[in-house]
Amino acid sequence: MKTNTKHYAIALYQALKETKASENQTILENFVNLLAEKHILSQARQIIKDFKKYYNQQEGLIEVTVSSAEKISTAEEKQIAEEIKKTTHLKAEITNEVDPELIGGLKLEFADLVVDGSLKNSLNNLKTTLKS
Amino acid sequence: MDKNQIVENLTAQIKKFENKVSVQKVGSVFEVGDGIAKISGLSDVMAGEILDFGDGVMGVALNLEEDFIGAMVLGETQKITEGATVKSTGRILEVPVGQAVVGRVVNPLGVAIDGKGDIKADKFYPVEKIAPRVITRKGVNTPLQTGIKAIDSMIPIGRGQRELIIGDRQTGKTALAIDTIINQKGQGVTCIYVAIGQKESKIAQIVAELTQRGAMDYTTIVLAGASDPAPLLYIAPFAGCAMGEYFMDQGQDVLVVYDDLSKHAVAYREVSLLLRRPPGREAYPGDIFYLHSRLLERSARLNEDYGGGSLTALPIIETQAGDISAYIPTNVISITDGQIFLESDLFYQGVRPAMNTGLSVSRVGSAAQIKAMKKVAGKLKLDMAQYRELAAFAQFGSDLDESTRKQIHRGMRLTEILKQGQYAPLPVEQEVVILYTAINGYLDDVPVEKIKDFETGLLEYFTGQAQEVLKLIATQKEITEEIENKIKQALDSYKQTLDYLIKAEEPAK
Repeated sequence: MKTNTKHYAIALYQALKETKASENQTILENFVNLLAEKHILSQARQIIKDFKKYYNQQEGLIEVTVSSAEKISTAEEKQIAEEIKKTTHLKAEITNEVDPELIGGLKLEFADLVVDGSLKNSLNNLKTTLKS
Repeated sequence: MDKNQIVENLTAQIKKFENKVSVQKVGSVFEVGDGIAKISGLSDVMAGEILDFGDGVMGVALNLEEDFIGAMVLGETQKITEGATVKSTGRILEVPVGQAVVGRVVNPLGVAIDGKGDIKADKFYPVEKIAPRVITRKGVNTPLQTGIKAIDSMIPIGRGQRELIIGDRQTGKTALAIDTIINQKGQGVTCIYVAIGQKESKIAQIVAELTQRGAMDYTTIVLAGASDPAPLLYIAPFAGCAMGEYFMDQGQDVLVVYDDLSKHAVAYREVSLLLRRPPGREAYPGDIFYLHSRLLERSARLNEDYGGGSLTALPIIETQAGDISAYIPTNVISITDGQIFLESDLFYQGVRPAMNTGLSVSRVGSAAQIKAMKKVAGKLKLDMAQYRELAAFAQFGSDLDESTRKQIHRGMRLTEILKQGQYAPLPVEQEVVILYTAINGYLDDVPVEKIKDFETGLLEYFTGQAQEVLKLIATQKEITEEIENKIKQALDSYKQTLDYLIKAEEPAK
């Protein structure tokens, strides 16, 4: 089987896991050297992407993007993380994006799901109901 | 409606409105071009599901791979950008069906393109559907009259049959199908004409012709033009079939014309190659046979327990230089219940419809002929076959023995009488009378070049003075001795009015 970027990502993850945290620096350096040797440094971006995905999968993490009209507070962030833990059993890593166009409410994006509870979406729904 | 009522209605609607948080699966476009999009995400999409690219552009998921989804885009790909979000809809591709589409020109997605307003259908049928199972089916036993003498007599088509029309370009394949549609007027058959990769000017012409002859009242045209992207061409026949299936399920009879499946195969090859499916012979994908067989299997004659409806298919295939042993023609020939083979040589000789009676067959249709037609068709087939054997000797003229000369003589008149103009389909009883005349030697003393006039006069006579004979054939559907005598009488008295007959002493031409 051909080696693809995913294999590199998994190998890197295992190498990092098996060694102590203090050696991480050397392992990363070795890894970059390996990529250079195999002439696939151009694919580094994809490998990083795959590594992130694999890491999250292994560690039970999930990346969540929360869009809101105004910046959300730490308490709110915590609450969202708890809710997500309830449904997905994964620990949420939240990034907050401010999008004034939403007017109010929240829009969560994680995995390939979009949960839209923003005021903008509600107004759009109202518009389509009234139109029909 | 007055103002207060409008306000009240709106208030009621607003009160009823539930503010729901929407949960949606999304993916993002990784790569797009040539009518194909590669999408990441959308983990639990179904094969064949409709995807929403936004801006009213839809797509269909075709390839489900480990990390990506290969989808064909139904419409313009220019508006789709890399990284754009794609929503799944949870619906399989479907088209509007029912009376609302009859008399309309629609695209393969069921959107009206004739400028007569939106199609308001309350029923939708999936484009891809499993063909009726064996338990629901019944043998073909009712004729579908094409109104063309040569076909109704020698290559009869029954309701629920699949009869291929095959021939080179410019041999009258479409004309044959259009004549058949025109002849369904008052027969209770709903017609669907699917144009795949046709010039839109040609379709405009067809629509005008059908409208003028009152055939658009029961006809739907599904148009995927030459300028439409390949995915639309690919789904067009399936969409047309779905529209027909609705009427079949209602217990009605349907005729679907697929014009033509060679362009359909080319469109599917394009989609498949862009989706990186492995190419096979002539670069067609491995499932090109299944593509056409699953489409044509959907034509059926249902039994009474399932409504008794039928769906007749007339697929058309264009050959290159008369080569019917190419890949797609052989595939479709083996799927269908017979073929009508049109030849350009015959066409240029003036034999129109340019049907090669030797290579054309109908494998099930003869069970569906009315008795009167069966009676005349048997002799006609035999005479024509003998004539084909001997036609090569025709040039030796007087060197031939008496019986051979007689055969050739008869064959020439039969060939002449089987010629028929475009847009001139005939009712079955008139066909029977004309063919009866021909096979019983009534034409033997008519000069070959006068046969056209003889036929016109004959029809005038039978629709005028002797119309009761036609009525009898139409109601009894067979030639009883009584009817036969009446035909003979009418023929004799008609022939007395003619002045161009060859006298018995003169040598026959």
